[in-house]
Amino acid sequence: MSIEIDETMQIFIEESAEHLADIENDFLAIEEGGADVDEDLINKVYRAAHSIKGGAGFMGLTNIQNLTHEMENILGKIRNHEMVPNGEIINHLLKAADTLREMISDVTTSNDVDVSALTADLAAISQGTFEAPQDADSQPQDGASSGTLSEAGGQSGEPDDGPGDALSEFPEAREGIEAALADGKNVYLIKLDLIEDVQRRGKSLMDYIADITATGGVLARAMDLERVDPLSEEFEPANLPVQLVFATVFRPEDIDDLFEIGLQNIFQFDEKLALHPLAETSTTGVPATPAETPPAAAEGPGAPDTPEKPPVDLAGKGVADTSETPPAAAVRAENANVHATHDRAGQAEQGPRKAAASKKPAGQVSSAVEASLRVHVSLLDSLMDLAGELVLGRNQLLQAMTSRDSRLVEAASQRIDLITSELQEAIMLTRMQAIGNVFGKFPRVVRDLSRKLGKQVELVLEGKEVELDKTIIESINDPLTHLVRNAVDHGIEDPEQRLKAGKNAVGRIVLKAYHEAGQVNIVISDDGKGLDGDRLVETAVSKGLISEEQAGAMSEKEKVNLIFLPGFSTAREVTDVSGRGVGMDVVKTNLDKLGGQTEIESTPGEGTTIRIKLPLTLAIIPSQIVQAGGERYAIPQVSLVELLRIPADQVKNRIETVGDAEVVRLRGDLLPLVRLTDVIGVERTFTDPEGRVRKPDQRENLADRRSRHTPLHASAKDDDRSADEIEAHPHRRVNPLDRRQRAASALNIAVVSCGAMKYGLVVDRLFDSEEIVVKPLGRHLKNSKGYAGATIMGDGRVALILDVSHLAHMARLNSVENSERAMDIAESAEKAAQLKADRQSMLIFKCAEDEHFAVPINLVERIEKVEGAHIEQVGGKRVMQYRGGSLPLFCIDEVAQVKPLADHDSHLVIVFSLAGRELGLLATGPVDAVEMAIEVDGETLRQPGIMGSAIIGGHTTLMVDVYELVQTLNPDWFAESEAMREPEGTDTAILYAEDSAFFRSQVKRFIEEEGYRVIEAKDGVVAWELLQEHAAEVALVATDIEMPNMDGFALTEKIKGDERFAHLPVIALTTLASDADQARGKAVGIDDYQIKLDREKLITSIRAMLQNA
Amino acid sequence: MATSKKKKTCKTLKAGAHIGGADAEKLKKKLIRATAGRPDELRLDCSAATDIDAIGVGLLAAAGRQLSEGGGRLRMKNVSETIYAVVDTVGLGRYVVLEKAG
Repeated sequence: MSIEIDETMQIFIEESAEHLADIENDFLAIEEGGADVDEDLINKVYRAAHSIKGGAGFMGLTNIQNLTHEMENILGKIRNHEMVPNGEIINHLLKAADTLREMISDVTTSNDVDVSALTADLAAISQGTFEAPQDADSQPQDGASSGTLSEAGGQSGEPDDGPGDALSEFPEAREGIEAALADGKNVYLIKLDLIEDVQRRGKSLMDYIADITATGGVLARAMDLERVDPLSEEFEPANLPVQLVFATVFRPEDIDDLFEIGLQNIFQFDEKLALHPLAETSTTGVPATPAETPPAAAEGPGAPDTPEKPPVDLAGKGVADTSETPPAAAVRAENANVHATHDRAGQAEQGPRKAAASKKPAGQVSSAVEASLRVHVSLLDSLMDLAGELVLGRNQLLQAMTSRDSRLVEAASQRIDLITSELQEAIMLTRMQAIGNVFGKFPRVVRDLSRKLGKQVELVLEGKEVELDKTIIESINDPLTHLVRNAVDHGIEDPEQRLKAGKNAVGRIVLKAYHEAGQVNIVISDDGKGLDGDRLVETAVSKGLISEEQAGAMSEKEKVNLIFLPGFSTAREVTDVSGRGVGMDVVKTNLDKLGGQTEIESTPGEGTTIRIKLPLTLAIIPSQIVQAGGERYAIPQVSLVELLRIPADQVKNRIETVGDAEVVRLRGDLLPLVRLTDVIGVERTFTDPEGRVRKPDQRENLADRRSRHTPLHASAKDDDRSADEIEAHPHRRVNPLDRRQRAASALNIAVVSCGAMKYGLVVDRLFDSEEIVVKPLGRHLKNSKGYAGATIMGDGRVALILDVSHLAHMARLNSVENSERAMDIAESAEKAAQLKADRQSMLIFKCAEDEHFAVPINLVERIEKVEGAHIEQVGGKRVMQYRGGSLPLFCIDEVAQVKPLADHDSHLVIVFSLAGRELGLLATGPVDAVEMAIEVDGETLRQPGIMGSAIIGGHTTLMVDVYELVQTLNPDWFAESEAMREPEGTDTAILYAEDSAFFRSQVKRFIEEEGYRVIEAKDGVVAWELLQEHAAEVALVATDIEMPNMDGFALTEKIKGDERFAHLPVIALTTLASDADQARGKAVGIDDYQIKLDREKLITSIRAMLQNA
Repeated sequence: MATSKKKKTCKTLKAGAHIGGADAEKLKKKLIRATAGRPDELRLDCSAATDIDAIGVGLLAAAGRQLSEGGGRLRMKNVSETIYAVVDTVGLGRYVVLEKAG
């Protein structure tokens, strides 16, 4: 008979699942209690089993009924202190609960599940005869009482069982049976229970008997009084078994319509007066073949053919009243065992057939249970309220639109926006489930596993009430199970080892969940032996997962994270617990798919902690919308660390290359950069903000500029920057000729993290953050790595949701410490470079008390002190009498946006010499001279008169551009110099090699302002290449000395050694030129040494060189 | 030689209209009191009984067994046809003496 899932069945499934939800932990608690039985707990479990049994009986779910019946027996004995719940008993009860759970989750096939062995074991346990697993063919137990045909009914249907045996209890019936058979009637042995089959079903005994006697003749009868308790105050007849020999014309297939006790309780006499259980009997009276036997009969207790007939239980006894009293239950259970014996015997014959029948494979679980949720009524009320509010909001919006009043429309929109958010939140709450639903199974997992491994483990659960989306709850079950099992198997040592290590013999595993920063954090920590990083490396190398070279460079954290590599397992042997090497990487992958992040920390000898962060829900997530290759993508907010925009003119300076990786320095860390278009395989494009036109991006490297010409060469013809843009930045000297400052060349970077790794995702454009609804990828894209899903934007277009973890893999950012590795390399390189880096002597001074300034000390002629009273105002300018003449004085704040000079009685005067004149810069002491390798930021604080800033002595110090200050204040001083400038459009180019971005920028500016074109190179190698490329244009080479790849000396040597370029003058620019350096320079052919920031002298030298050339 | 004959003890109870049912508890108490003295015979007058259920059958069966273990017996007198058919069919007749009414 097929079992259909209608509403009633669905309710049974849900309620049974609820009953079983806590049963596991209850069994464990009972085990822990031992002989000290907690009656309330037993009763709770008993009631749960009883309820399930009752419902199963009603639904015709015989296997479920049988199993719960046996569980009841055992629980009854425990409650009556007739049995102490030891490990073996609890194991069987747990196994029964597991089997029940499986059957309930797929009730349609529950009757096909072979539970005979388990049922037999449970029965044996309750009878105290359990010793070893029972054979399916074992002889039925002799549970027969006087007055019953025990053997006849169950052992076999073999014709060799003589009528004498079968009729030993009813000798008087022999003649009647023979006569009835001779008359062509069917003669049956009926086993019924007046209490179970009649009383509890609410039937009238008199009517029941009347129906029987009206349809046939009772040839013999016997009541089994052995099962009836003695008369007493507590007497309540729970069972009243009766056997009848009944002759009737009813055929076997109809006889149960009369008695309604199940075919397993009806046996038919054949011509030889042998009894056959009706379950095996066909209409021909011979044992049925599988094809002929009704499925219900073949499985034992038959299910009713029609829904109207009450189902039967184990003993063929229907259950109408599920609130029976325990003593009665015990009696009935005992009695039922007799029938179970017969059934089992009957089933023994069918054993092979039953075993061959399709047993539901483990894991094929229907979604009957998972398809429903229990929601608190208050939440539903809240949803109703919000729905009502939404309707009101909608009406308001419609009205506002009709009135065409934009204010009303806006107000209505805002209201709908607010209600939508609340509705979303409320709906999300309906899906929230306590993580305790997952945690709850782990006591059993830990118990079973620790027993198996001979370990003692205590499991502590915290935060069971923390709620997560149902989907996530269901998905984290397997990963968490694996992690917990790993902790027991690999983490916790056996008691002996622990004692030797000075630890408690009982290991401790803590499973904790808590909310933090909008995410759920799950921590699994153990006090076991921890992870041996060196052993992990050894294993990884031996498996070929990493090379020895890589292993040598790994940090401790990297070593520990090796366990996440696919194919990794350090287990000495593969057990069914763990060690197949397919665990941790799958765990991490599964957690990644949920948007989770996993980190692992471990201390050898002390323990391991695994931290998992999960979003609260997967349905709607906040995300950052970006654009790349003309398409929009969403980055889940949980993966986003920050957004970074590098202005066009900083790109070249801030993007560095470490090894073969492009990186950007972000607050001291090196961040690897990945271009999204490259990873996902789309054309690189960029959106030109001026025309909002998407154009192909021809940059090879991020730091390159989008020019079809030489990336390092700017042509005035290419630029069309407007004057308005220049005006927009009054404090920035925006050179309209400088293409680097175009917004289109700026870099947009989304800094993302996956686990402990961070990297920068370079995209074309950044949009706002939005809350998006996550949709699964369609079947066409489901195998696409790099995407976690899709969403539909407000304009109806689809945006793919990026999987930042997979993108990192695709970009081969496969090491957690890649960025740290790069940083280490860079730091080492930097340290080495600093040893021979350009060092600058700076004069540090102040103007206002809290603003620090610096000028290259080699530009300073001298420092004087002047009393305030000696400063004169002449012709609108300040002067002081100095060495027989007037020394013009100026302050920085006359040009730059800085604080005014402090009001002191006396000031310092820093004397410079420019344009053939001396002038003094007013300053406030104290002054200091420092010599150091300075990292100058030429952009952040750049403004007229200030060339940049640096951190000196812990202070942000502004680097003063004295030349610019003076030129701004006294442009006519430089008229002669201007006259000597190269005319516009000159072809004279100066090749300038300088590794420092700051000096390169500064000096280039100096030179360009004199009308020369500058071809810049960041080191000697690049300079040499550019020289060959622009051989016809280059008239002079200016070069720094200390540069990577090829220093100034080597470059000069190459130039002078090549007859094509030997004629070119070479000026070495340096901050400090020692005698030794100068001598060496002379040896290789350097024509002149100049100080980098001494603009005047440099230009003078250039002019002189060019003139002579 | 003089012999003494033990005098038979006999008790009589009257059953209500429904043997079992709502009267089950009452009947039980009566049976307990009646069987406590181990009478040789306990007579149950069923003249007023029109109905019997499984509980009632059980009570009678328990009382009958108890009495028979003590050497006594339970006799149901004035049993109606319908009640007779029930108690006879279910095999109560092995432990209880049934006498039809009339």
